This record gives sequence, structure tokens and C-alpha cells, in this order.
Amino acid sequence: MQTQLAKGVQLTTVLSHQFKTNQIIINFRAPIKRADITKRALLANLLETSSADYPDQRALAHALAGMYGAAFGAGVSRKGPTHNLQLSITVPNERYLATAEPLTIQAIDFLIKIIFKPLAQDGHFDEPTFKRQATNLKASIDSVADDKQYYAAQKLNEALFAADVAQQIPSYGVAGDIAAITASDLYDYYQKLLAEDQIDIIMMGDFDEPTVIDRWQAVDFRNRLVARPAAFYRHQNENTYTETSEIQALSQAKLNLGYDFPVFYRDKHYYAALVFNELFGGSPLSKLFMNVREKASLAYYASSSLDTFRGVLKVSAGIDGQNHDQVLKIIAAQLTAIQQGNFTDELVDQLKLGLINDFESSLDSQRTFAIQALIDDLTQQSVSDADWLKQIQAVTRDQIMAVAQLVTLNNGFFLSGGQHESN
Amino acid sequence: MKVTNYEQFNETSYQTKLANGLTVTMLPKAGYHKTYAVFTTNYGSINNTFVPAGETEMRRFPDGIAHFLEHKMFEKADHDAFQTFGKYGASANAFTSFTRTSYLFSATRNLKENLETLLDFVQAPYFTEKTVEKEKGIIGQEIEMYDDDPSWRLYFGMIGNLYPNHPLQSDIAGTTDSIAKITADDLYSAYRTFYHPENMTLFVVGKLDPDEVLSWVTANQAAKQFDAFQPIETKIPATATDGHDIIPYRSIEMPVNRAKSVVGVKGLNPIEPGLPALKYRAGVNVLLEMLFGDTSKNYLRLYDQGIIDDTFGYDFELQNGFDFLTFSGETDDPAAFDAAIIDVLENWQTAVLDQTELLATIKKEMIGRIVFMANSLEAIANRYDQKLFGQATIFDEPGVIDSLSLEDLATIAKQLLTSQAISEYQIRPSGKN
Repeated sequence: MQTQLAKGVQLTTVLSHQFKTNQIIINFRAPIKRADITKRALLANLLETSSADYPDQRALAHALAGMYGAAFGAGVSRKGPTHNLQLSITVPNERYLATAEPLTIQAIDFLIKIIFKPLAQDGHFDEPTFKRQATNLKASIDSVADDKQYYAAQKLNEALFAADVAQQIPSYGVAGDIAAITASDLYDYYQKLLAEDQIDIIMMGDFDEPTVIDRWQAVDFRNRLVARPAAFYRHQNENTYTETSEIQALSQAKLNLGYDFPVFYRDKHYYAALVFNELFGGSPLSKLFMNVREKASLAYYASSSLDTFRGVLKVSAGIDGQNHDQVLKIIAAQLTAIQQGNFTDELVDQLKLGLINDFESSLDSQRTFAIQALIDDLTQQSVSDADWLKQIQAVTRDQIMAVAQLVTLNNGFFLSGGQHESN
Repeated sequence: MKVTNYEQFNETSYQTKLANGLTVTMLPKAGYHKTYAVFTTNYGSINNTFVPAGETEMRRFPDGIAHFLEHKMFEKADHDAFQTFGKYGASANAFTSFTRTSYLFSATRNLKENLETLLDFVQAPYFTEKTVEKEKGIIGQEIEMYDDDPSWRLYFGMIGNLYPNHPLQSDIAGTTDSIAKITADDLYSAYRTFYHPENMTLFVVGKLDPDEVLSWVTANQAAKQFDAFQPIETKIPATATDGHDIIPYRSIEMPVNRAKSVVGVKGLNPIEPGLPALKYRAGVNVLLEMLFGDTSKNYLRLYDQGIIDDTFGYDFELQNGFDFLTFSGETDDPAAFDAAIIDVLENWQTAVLDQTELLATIKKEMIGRIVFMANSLEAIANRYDQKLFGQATIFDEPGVIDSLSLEDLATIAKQLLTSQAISEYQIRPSGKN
């Protein structure tokens, strides 16, 4: 059920007996801007760890433990041209506990306190708390580089989106921005976010709907005067391959490839693209898995993924650095094979079954409903479970071959140990 | 079939032991679309010295053999088990731990076919020298990847300190040198010894009808021949009960941006399997929460002093035959980090004695966590460990948590948190002082 709380502020309630917990998710959405990304990441850290009612982490932790171990978190993410700051809380359903406490209502009240009563005074966030979170954010961003798989993926992202700096940087921000942000700047930005961001509240579980809706309607959300953000960012096809490389002390090399792939969420090629990705590198039955990993023993992992909110396809592989050229060649050959229809109908049926299995399995996770509600609102459309299944089943081999023709290799990033230099 | 009702959770489990020795447990979940099945043998990375089935002498096998066997199990003469699961729309996987190897699938359709595929591929070994050689390349890559992972190196560095003469300290996957020695014959020896149904369990949870599942599994097993079960003799070196073999401190350098440190504590006393083990695990987890959890005074103090940050975490590993604690984090000053952790451990009394109210809050939190896990088919299945906890499922845990007293915690702390059981391991950024 959908309830409009104000212009641009929407509450979605989904009732289900399947889960033993109730979940509340709030998304604050805005068009992604280079100058705002790090601020929003820092805000997520501050909101997650403090508020006027719970001035330190211990007070906050006690409140959550008292709600039978409620899980509370804040985070940031990117969906195409949209940046999303998300708060979420999940509580056990009291019917499975020896208690009469109304945990779900307590959880709503908790979130309202977190959002509207931050730990701030005189127009700035509490200085010691702000400083500590700024330090922690910087440390966590710096540490990301230690995860080489993640690091290589991020470098590829920079290369793929050279045309737009807001798309280049990660959704969790840039360490170098942090020093310039003050506690009062950030407080001002937070007021702007509260007034202007699109807000989606999603509640999923087994609760009394009217009581919950009443609770949210009592909150003074103001009408948003800003237009809805666009749903998609369209990647620019460069039509040529550019590879950058870097040498670090490591034993397993990483090869990450980025392709222009102008297929967008639920457009006419979308379902064929899902099957294509499974066939190319998205599943253990895929061409990349079977030929690069299994047959040629060239990689520990080799897989592909789609970003249908930006129109790109990515491949990542962990390889022995000296095999760079051979791996590049084999990956290209797999794409050509698909374009030429070199795959069996039986395999396509299996890949569809795998997609259907993933889709039906996702219905067993409470979070899926919140993710879908957000996407439906972003794209202003929804598809029933039955329709989704029908669309996947209707994909033909010709459609898969046609959609494979839309793939153009644009960028590569090669991270190696350097001892096996390749040309 | 033994039926257990968990009224508070509105759940029921069904358990039975088949004629061939296989223990089968089923837990239907209303409203779920998916079924998750795990087929487990009590055979892990630490079991590398044993009397092979049909032989009489103890033999030492190369490190990493249990994990290697897991990888090779999927490949058959004319097909790969992944393909068969794919044909039925299931996603399959496997993992090897210190003491167990598990094969699993999850599927929303074709449950019968997928269950049969799981039982059949694990019960029909096919190893040749050629396929074994090829696998060495793939696993070699896997080992190299872990070599680059500082968190993995930190964890195994600590295990090496706590268990220097024990197979626990070698990587579950082995080393490139050790796996080079593995032969197809070795795999058959290990297989025949540890993959007898008597040494295995099947756990199925999610969308299922227990009578139907049991009839499929029973028919599948009745059609197969197994040798009489020969009790398994393995040799795992004893570790010193006074902790004198523990290496108190080591450090290495790696290309990381920030130093990482871990403090470890080795459980020196054997833990009795069954309910005592379940209670011990719950007790240690509550104790850790009181000492270092985000509701503790210590956590806030160390966080505010900048000694720990959001990278701080702790873990309690309890498996059949051993247990240890690890406390790890990134830090600019590993010595200060270690000293602060050890100070809390050695002075556990101040955080535990008389803390009746804190104990009540933590119990609420931990019982709530079990309710969270009751949503997850994977959590329900993977927390089941017959060798360690008998037939207990997660729905037995809230009662155990609720029964814990401050005296229970003090007893555990006195035994576990002793100075001679503590060790430190650090990774420092290379090229920095």
C-alpha cells in the first residue's frame, strides 16, 4: 500500500507473514553531484553513530539492544544519476518473543529521533563527534585500496566515466574532500537534504498497517519543491579500447574491462540483456567461467556484471599477470561466439532457469522488497512477479545475439605485480 | 522420525537416521520460495593424518587435501555437477572448514531432481591424474589470492601463533607446494575414509514437505551400496594445556595503508560436545559482548581514545576439538591496540561482576539475533553441527541464552581468559616505520 506523506515523500507498506522480523527503510535521494558525495557519506556515518537522544555509541547501542537487538544502519549508494542515503532498522516481531513491548512502533520512533534530532547545536554538528567520524571516514576510504579486487574495479570505473566526474568517484566519497568540510557546512547541507531530497519510506513485515501509517503521518514532512531526479545516466561510447595499468606488490593480477552497453532497466532489450549476461560471464555456466576459468585454467575468477542504470557492462578477472594478452583474447572470443550464435538452446533454457531461481529466491529476503520499491519509484513503473517470469521465458536466441551486438569494449584496467611484464 | 516443535517460533524440525547411517534433518519454512540443502561430512583441513579405510597404518596426507577433494568432487567423467544443477535451475556451492566439508544447493524448483543430484555427485567420486593436475592451477590461483589478502594473513598468522604444531595453522587450501603432491589415489583414500554416510549429515530447510523429502532420500540411499562403516582413526597432535607452546608475538610487513593487529586467546580446556558446547558458545558470546560489545563501557572508552575504530571486530571460533578468540582491527599504533585489548581481557572482572542489568540487556539482544537468523535458511542450516551440538537447531538457542547467569560467565572467563593463553600478531605497512 502506498501513502503520500507530502509531495516527494512516500510511504510504502508491504504486509507479509513470511518473516519473523519487521523492517523499515528510509531513502533520501538526490541527483548525484561531485561536491555533495563525500558530505552525504559523512552524514551517513554521523547519523549511524549519534543523535541528541543517544549522544554516544554506547547509548545508541543500549537503545538497540533494548529493542531485542534491533539492527540499525546507514549507508550510501549510487543508482545511475541518483545518490541515495539510506537508513534502515529491523526489529524482531514481538510475537516470537516473551515480551509485550511494541517493538515496531518503537523502531519508527527511534528513526524519527535519529533523523530530526541529530547531535548538533547552534547550527553545527557536535564537534568531537564530527571530528571522530571525519577521521573514521577518511581511514575507511583509504583502506579500500587494500582490497585489490575493489581497487581495480574502482580504477576501471574512473576510466569508463572520464566524461563525468560525479560518475567517476565512489558513492562513499573521496578522502581528500574531508578536510575541507566543517561541522557547520555539513549541518547546513543536512538541512538542505531534509528539505529537498526525495524521501521513500518502505516498511515490510507483519504489523498493524493503520497504526503504522498514523505514526508516519504525524511527522511534519514538507513538500519537495524540486523536480524528480532522472532515472538513468547514459554512458558515452568511445568506440575505441584504452587500457591503463598499474604495478603494485601483489601476486595475483587483476584485469578489469568496461564495455559500453546501451541497455537500460526494463527497456526493450532488458530481459535479453539479463540472459546475455548470464551467458557471457554472469553464472557458473557462462562462457567466461567455462572457458577462461575451467577450460584454460587461466583465472581464479572471471565474471561479468551489468549496470542497467548507466548503460555499461563490466568484466573482472583475477589472473596470472603473464597471461594478460591471452586472457584478453579469450574474453573477446567469448563475446564474438555469442554474437555469432555459438551457444545451444539447452544452455539458454538453463540460464533462464538460473535467473528465475535467483529471482524467486530473492523473494525470501526481506530487503528485496525495499530495493524493488525504490527502483519502482525511481523508474515510475512496476512489473508483477508473473510478468517478470513471462518476459524472461520469452527471450529468444536471436534477441540474445542482437543484444550482444550492442556491446563495445571501451576501457581496461590492469593491475599487476610487475614481474610478468606483458606488451 | 523424531518431530520437535518449537512453539515460540512456530517452527518444527524432523530428524531421522537412515539404515546406511546418514542423519537427515528437515525444517519446513512456510511462505518461502526456496529450499536450501547441505550435505556435510565431518572431514576438514585438520584431518590430514589418518588410517585410510581398508588399511591399518596411520598415514600423513598433504595439507589442503580436504579442500582439494571438495573441488574435484564436482567433476565427473562426462559432465560437471554444476551443469546438472544448472539444468534444474539450482545454484550450488561447497566449502571446506577446519573440521567439515559441505556441499549445498539452493533452488526454488525441481527439488527432487536437485536433491538427487546433490546426493549422487557427492557419492560417486571420479578422480584421474589428469583432472587432478589441472585443478592444481585453479587452486594455486585461489591460494595466491588469499596470500594477498591482509585480513586472511592476519587471521592465519594468529592461528599459527596459537597452534604452532597443529594442522590448524596451515591454510585450509594448503600451499602451492603441498597441493603439488596430491594424487588421485590420495583423494580416493580420503574419500573412502570420510565420506561414509555414517560420517555425514543432510540438512534440508525451506519450501519442503518432510514426508516427501524423506521418501526421496531414503529411496536414493537404499539403491546404493556402502561398505560396513569402519570407525575413523585420525591423529591430531595434542596442544599444551598450559599454553607453553603458544608463540606470544610475531609481526610481518605487507603493502597495506594502515597497520592491522590481532590479539588471540586460545581455549586450553576441552569442550564437551552437545548441550555443554551450546551453552559454552552462548556464554562466550555474551561474555565478549560484555567486555567489548558496543553496549560495553570498554568499547566506548577505547573508541573515544582512538585506540579502536569501526574496523574493530572480534570472533569466537568453536569447532569440534578446539576453540579460540580473536580481536582485530586497523590501527596506527599496534602496540597500544594490543595492550588495551589485553588489559580488558586480564581485568574482565570489572566489566562482568555485578553487571546484572547489562546481562539482561545483552540477553535480549542475543535472543533477538536468533529471531533474525530464523529468517535465513542458510543460517538455520549452517549453524547445525551434529558432531559439536548434537541434534540442536538454532531454535534451541534462546532457551540456552536465557539460562546464563553471571556465575556461569565468571566460570567461563576464569578458565578462558588466562594470560598464558594470549598472543599478538601484527601486519605493518612495508617501507614505513
